[in-house]
Amino acid sequence: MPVTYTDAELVQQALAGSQPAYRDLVSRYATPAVNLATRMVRDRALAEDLAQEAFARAFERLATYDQQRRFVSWFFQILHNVTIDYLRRKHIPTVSLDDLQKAGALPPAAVSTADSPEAQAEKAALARALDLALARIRPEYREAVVLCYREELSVEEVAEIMSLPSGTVKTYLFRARKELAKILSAQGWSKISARSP
Amino acid sequence: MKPIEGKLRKGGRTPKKAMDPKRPTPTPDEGHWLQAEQSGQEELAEIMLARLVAQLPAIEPSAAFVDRAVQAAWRTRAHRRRVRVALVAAAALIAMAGVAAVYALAPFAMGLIASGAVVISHGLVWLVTSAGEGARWWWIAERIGTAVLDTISAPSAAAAIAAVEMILLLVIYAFRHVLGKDYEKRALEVKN
Repeated sequence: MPVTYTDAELVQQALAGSQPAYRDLVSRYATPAVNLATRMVRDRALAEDLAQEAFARAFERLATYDQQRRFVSWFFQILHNVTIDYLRRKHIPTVSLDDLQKAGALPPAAVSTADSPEAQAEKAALARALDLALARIRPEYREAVVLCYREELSVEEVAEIMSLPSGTVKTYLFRARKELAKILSAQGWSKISARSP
Repeated sequence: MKPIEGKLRKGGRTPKKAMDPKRPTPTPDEGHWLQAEQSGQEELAEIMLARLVAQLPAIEPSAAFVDRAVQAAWRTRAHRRRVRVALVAAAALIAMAGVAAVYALAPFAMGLIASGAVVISHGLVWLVTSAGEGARWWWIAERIGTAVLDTISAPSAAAAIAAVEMILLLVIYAFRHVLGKDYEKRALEVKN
């Protein structure tokens, strides 16, 4: 039976030179890292490059990792810096609604099989629309939403990652929600949802 | 209106307040996030949006991503080690080269300094000697000039010079007079 190590234990082993330990850490956080980076830069190949750079940088600074802190929070801070550096260098503009779909950057939405076919279709469409709407809001709002709601980090952790006060992160979340609601309402989603039970 | 204070928990998939029996707990049939937004149910709207975002499909990395990331990290570490070793080696090399240069060039530098000192001292001696010589010749010329001037400026010498000059002038006049008469006589002979 394979032994499951904590992040802190894997970090210790990696510091001692264990490549498999670091591989385990990377495996653990590869999906969240690529997920966040893709939503930030809207290019999957580029997102993988940025995530790879973040993992390499994290490995370089592994000795500075404070084990009192959650590894995911520490790592996301590095990924945030790598991504923000890239965005500042490249000045990526807001993407059009269809760009991501055309590029195939977004996977099809997952739906519950417990719902009716119509409800499943509507949920999948709403998820896709929400994904695309996320790409239209400001990058800092998007990052706060993804870290807080998708990666389920606390507001304080997100604040630490983004080097912002907690109050600012809460404001970002509030404004992001309002902007997302506005975008989806403009697309007629409020009328569709009003018809739903 | 600001987001709800401490609404999300760290480790779970569901917002904390959704687990609290005192808070509204949305169910799939209860409606829609946008409905909650429109009806001004801010807490419910936030919980439902959090749930919606949490249910968004993950963007998975490619199959080779983990291997690439680990290899890149190891390459970076190896590169950093190589750079560190190269820096230490370069620093040691520079220090050794400096010491060797001091040892190798010390005799040459000392010889150069000694030669320079000899040349400078010889130059000084020559300069002093030349100045002395120059001063000596200048002193002789000055003495001669002074003697001549003293002789000329003495009253007896001046009178003697004036007398000699007068005599010379008289001799020149006499010669001219004699020669003039002889010239006229020869001219008449030629005419006749």
